[in-house]
Amino acid sequence: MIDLLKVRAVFVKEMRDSLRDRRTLFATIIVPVLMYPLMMLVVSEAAQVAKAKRASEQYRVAVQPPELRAQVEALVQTYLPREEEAPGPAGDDPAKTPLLQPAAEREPEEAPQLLFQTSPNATEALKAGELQAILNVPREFVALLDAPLAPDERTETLDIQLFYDGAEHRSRQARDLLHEALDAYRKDVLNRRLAARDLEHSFLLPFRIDEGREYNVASAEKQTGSALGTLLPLLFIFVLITGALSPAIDLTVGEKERSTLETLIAAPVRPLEVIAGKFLTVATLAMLNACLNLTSFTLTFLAVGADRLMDFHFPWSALPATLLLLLPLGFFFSALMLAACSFATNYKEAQVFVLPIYVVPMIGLMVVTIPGIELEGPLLVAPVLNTALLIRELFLDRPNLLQPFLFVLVSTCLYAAAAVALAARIFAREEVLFQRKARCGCFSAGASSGLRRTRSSETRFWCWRWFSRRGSTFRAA
Amino acid sequence: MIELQDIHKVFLTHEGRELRAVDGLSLRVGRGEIYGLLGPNGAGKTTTLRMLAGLIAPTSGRLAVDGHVAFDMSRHVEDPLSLKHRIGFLTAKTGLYGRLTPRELLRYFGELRGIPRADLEAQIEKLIAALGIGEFADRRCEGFSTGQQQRVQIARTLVGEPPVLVLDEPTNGLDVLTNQLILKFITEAGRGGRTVVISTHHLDEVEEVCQRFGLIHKGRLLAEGTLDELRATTGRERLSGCFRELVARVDPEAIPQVALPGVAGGGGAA
Repeated sequence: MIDLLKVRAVFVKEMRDSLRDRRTLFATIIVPVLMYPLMMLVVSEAAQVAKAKRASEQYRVAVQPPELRAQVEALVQTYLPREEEAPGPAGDDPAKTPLLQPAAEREPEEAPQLLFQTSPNATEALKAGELQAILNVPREFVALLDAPLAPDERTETLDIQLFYDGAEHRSRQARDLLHEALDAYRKDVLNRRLAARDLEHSFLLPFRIDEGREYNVASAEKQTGSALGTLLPLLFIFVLITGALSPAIDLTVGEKERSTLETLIAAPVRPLEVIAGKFLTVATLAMLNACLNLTSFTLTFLAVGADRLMDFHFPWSALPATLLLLLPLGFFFSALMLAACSFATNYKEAQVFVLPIYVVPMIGLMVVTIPGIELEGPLLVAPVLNTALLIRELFLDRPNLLQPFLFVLVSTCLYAAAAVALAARIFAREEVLFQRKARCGCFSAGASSGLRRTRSSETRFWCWRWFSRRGSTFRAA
Repeated sequence: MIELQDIHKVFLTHEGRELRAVDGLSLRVGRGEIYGLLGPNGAGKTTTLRMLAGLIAPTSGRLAVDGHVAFDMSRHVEDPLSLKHRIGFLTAKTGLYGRLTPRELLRYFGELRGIPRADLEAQIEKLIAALGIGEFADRRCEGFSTGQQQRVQIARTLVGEPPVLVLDEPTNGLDVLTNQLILKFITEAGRGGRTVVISTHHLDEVEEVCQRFGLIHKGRLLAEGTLDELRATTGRERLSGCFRELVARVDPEAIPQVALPGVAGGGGAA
């Protein structure tokens, strides 16, 4: 029978020890609290710098034929879009607003500049980066389009060629600016032609599909949940794994490296009691890390993004069930980490051994982002994936989730219990406890017979160990 | 008090070869006796002590402490937990939890021994006073000198007042002053009625402390007795001489014959 008082003693000691460890404190508390605000600050500053830089950019554009340079420049500068255009009083309804409000009528703002020039060898200059774009317009371009049209006069479509360097960011920027200006000019000309023929704008727009906000039956929470449903399971599971990593290594390999393990197992305590206490510590720290991460992330997101995301309605109703699901998953990862780290003799080895525990689930979780994958059949009991899919369903506010919820909860609890039992079994093995001895070439007979018994299930792991040892020998040699 | 009967411990090497670390070892240690377990490197001392401390199980044989059978492999009896309750285990190699204070560390190991809280606190205060730990009892162990660490280790070993102490090379790598502390601790433990089994390479240190000695080599007991009995058997005065003589009789190659250029009389006197 397991002695709960001893489990508690191990847990209290390990929590105290871990919370005094600067490395664990940094990884568990400092990083999550500071990371997101700092990240957001850095991103925000970088965006400001990029915006300022973009506004002061100058792009050189060659006009062909050269004699049209001055007219094309005047035209493009008139219709050049300005930064952060505010919508007109009638909103975005094209039927109610003129197709374009010329830029010259708006407040002048700092914006990227297009410097027009003529160039005898424009294509080479563009390839060399001396020019960012070449505008090749037909001779009749300006004169023809600006001339008033008689109602029965026929029109034709003129072709303008825009050359740019698709591999250069500055060239693509110049292309976009020219495109926008010419597009605006085209709409303006169109407006004038319609007016000349006494036609309404509806002549060009026989009907429109109104899919405005009021026609969307999904609640704001559901829409947000749909967006977050694929992202959040990945984030939740990632923070659970990273939260368990540092304490799991410290509580197992740390004991070996500090030479305290022999003292501990010489005390009258069962391996299961030791591993249970350590497991509870790792799970607690992982959950603490996850909670701090999510709180910090949410607060930062709301603080910085609230003014930009007016429609952001977090589906709070999904949160209690999600947190309940994360508990056994946190237990599962904590136990797996402990089991893997118990094999290791030093920190470096431990980091290699835990690698599959966080790489494999993260790759597997990409399934959540695939549309059409539903939580049913074998996926109901697929470890980790079932929790991720269920969280997605919860955020989408799907009905009838009680049965899948129970399936996922019970199966994950069973996996967690099995992982704890595996960790305890590994921890009790002589060759794991006295690995320095084992490294010198010895395994106990009991251990070796155990190894033979479990060879089929553990062959890969031991082969991996063997190769890692050989690898280190070769490196040392 | 301690009884080992035909104890074997077999390890498998990476090559799949059997390695007999302990090969039919039998010995008895009486209550209150200080017993020195001696032997060259690789003789099986540490393996024997680890089995005695309940850290590993013998492959075969019977091991009993204080009348309680902890291992009887022929009858599939394995009860290391009861053995650990009766044993205090100390080595020079083991470290302390650097982020705990000595008081917290003693409390932790007391709780693992299942000592009631009130008794435990009284024991801790007694140990702190007896070993002169009071000055640093509430400071974290991470900056302690070797002597301070060993005092805390001794106190940790004595928490729960185990009747048997198993000491595996407890003075290995320690300075003279800390050595003396350990030897004093062993003597006091013997006077207090505790049974002590000690393994060491520092034979001159233990020849005055131990009442009986057992010499093992290649996992087998070569000889056993008091210092006088060993002297009579070997004709040597010092324990180190007896040791060399006994090993040389069964395995002359185990005694290194190194002739260093320019150094005369490398054999040493016993």
